[in-house]
Amino acid sequence: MSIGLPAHLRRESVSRAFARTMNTVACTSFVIALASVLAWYVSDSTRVMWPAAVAAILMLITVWLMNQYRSPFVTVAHLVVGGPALYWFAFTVISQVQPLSAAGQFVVNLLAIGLVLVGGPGGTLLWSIVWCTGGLLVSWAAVSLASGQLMGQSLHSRSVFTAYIVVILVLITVRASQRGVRRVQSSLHRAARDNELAQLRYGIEATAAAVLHDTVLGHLASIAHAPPGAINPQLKREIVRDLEVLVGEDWLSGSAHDRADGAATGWHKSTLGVAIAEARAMELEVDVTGDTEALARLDPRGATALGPAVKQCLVNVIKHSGTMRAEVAVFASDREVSVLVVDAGRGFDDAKTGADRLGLRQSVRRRIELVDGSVQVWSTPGLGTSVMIRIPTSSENTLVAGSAVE
Amino acid sequence: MTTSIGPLSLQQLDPLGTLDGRSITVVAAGGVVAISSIMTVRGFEAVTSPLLAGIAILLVLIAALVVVRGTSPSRTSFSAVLHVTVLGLLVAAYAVSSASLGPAGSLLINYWGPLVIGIISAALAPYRPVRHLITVGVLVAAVTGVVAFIQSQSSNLTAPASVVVLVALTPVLTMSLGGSAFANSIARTHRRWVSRAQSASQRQLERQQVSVARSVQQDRVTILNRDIVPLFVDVSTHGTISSEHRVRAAEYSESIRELMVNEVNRSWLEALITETFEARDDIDRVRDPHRLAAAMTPSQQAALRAAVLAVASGSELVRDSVRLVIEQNDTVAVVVVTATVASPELPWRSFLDPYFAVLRVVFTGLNVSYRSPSLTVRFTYDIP
Repeated sequence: MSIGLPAHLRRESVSRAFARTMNTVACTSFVIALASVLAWYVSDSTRVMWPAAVAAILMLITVWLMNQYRSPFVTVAHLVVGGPALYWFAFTVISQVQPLSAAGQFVVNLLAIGLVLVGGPGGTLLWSIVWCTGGLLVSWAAVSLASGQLMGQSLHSRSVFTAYIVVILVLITVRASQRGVRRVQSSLHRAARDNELAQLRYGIEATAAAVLHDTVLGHLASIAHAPPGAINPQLKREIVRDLEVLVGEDWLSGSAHDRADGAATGWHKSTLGVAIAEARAMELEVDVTGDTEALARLDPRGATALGPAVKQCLVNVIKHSGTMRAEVAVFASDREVSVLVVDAGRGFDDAKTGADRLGLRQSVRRRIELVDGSVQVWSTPGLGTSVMIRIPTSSENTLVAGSAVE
Repeated sequence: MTTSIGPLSLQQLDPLGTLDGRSITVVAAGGVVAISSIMTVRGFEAVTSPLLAGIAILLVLIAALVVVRGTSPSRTSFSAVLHVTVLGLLVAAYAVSSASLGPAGSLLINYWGPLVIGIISAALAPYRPVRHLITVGVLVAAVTGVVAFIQSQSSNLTAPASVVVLVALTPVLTMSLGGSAFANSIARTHRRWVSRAQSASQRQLERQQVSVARSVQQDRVTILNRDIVPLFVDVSTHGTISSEHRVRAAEYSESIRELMVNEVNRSWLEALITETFEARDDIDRVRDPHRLAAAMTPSQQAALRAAVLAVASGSELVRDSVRLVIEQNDTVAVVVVTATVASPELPWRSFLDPYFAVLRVVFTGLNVSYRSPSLTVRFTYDIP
């Protein structure tokens, strides 16, 4: 579930993000201050601006360190280095830029504001305010000292104090605004978990329905349509086998899927091979062509779904096509294994197929879609039917899972 | 579950957190109108064209209204066009304001221009992807610098033009990049959390798979044991099929088939609505003739599930009145939810706004219309 951060992470992440914001603003301010110093030098190269440039670079380094190591130690270091650096910067600009003008004062204030923005490492609101206040006092002392020495008055302007107030207000608002959504956020995450569980149950119920369709429903239909008298030995064997499985084993658990690795023992013993053998036992003539070794590329889930789905296609040929001959062709690429079941029977019109016809929907389409595969059916009355089943290979599934984690 | 995190905005990654911080955006929008108006009035003696000064404030007002309206949770996600439009209006306001000043106008008189552009750039940080924020921020800062440069040519300024340009673009650049850093930091935390949460969720599902499978199997075996297993045992033990066996088999086959058809046709949404509203007999609650509910992504399903559960547990809407229709329109599914509101507008809006905020980022084209007492919520999503 990707919607939103859980409540317990929100406070810390917002606090960290705001620290990054302050560091970025400070960093950008120092870069612009440095650029301004260079611009003054370019406009008049007799000005000695390099001490201001060195001071701005020093402050850039300490704010970069603060961004990398969000700790009280680095913040104190930033203030300890930043105070003298700001004094140096202000002294240079005031002495070299004559007249100082609003632009000169602005650039000095820019560095002072950068020093105020040190509230990042504060774990609590109070500590953040304490750090910012520390930055304000240090910047006030540095600028006042420099301007007092050169101009006989303090240059520390109202804009620095305004910036301080704005930062404190935003800090309070950002912290306070993280309380309102906790209830809804929790319900959202709970809904995501419920949804995953519902999908899991839906998938297992669909598998159960497909299994029951192939076994119980098939046997009931055979009994209902059988002539009275002795039971067909094949039907009896299948009923006894399925009874043992359905009532006595964990036929829905994952271990059942894990056993169905068609590749390990050759395609004849794969679920597809077994399905074709069973269809042949029902007197259907089945031609198998193509790259049957490619079945090895399917993962256990795909292999488990493929056999019963093809079996249902072949049962449909027997029941509905009017022919007793079908072809099963296997193709493969790196991404998927495709199995085409073709008959030259009477075909059907999809639009006229009854809504209660479960075989293709339940036992083929739904089963294959549960393993991220797809089913396409082409049928024309009088010209036969082709069913294409595509299932992603195990490597493709791994890729999808990997991209999901990313 | 596939969750690819591409260039998404905070609004898309964390809609509720963004909604919670919307008050800051609204205050910022009001603040820029106040700042531009007050500073224009204070520096009015330098204004040579009151009409242009008035137009500049009007442009700021329009931009502020667009911000407030565009970030409303009842509207679709804040688009790139809207973002560029807002900042374009503010840059235009700054340019018009500069034109309104005569030669006596200094940079500081209409410094509100760069300030309001910077403030709105920061306030809109949660609504656009980081890369977009940085690109637009730098471009707008450059344009602001150009406006300041042109102004410096016609004004009596003592500083070099390059310094004036740097001073003018400072608020825009610092606040744009600051806002981007905020959005980037939250997005990175979100990415790390999603990765960890997905692994944990996968492990949890693997643990639950066996117990859910056993529960489903037990349900099925209980049904089979009642009628079908005795029939199969009877037939296989005696080795013969009688007329009575045939009648029973046809009867069981029919009832199982009917159950399975109903199960296949019932989507997760119908199951959820039926269980949540205890409306087993009300087949009109969900109309989904094209079976499109299954095409929703896991995030869409979770968001809708949370909203449905909230509505069912709250008293703001009349429970029996909730109806949901999903229709197909080319390659999109259109969902229309209708309900009757049972409370005054303010309570139901504050109750449902967080859910709208989530729905609007996972679905497209969310539209909420209310004509007392009827509430209609419409949204769309892509279908394969």
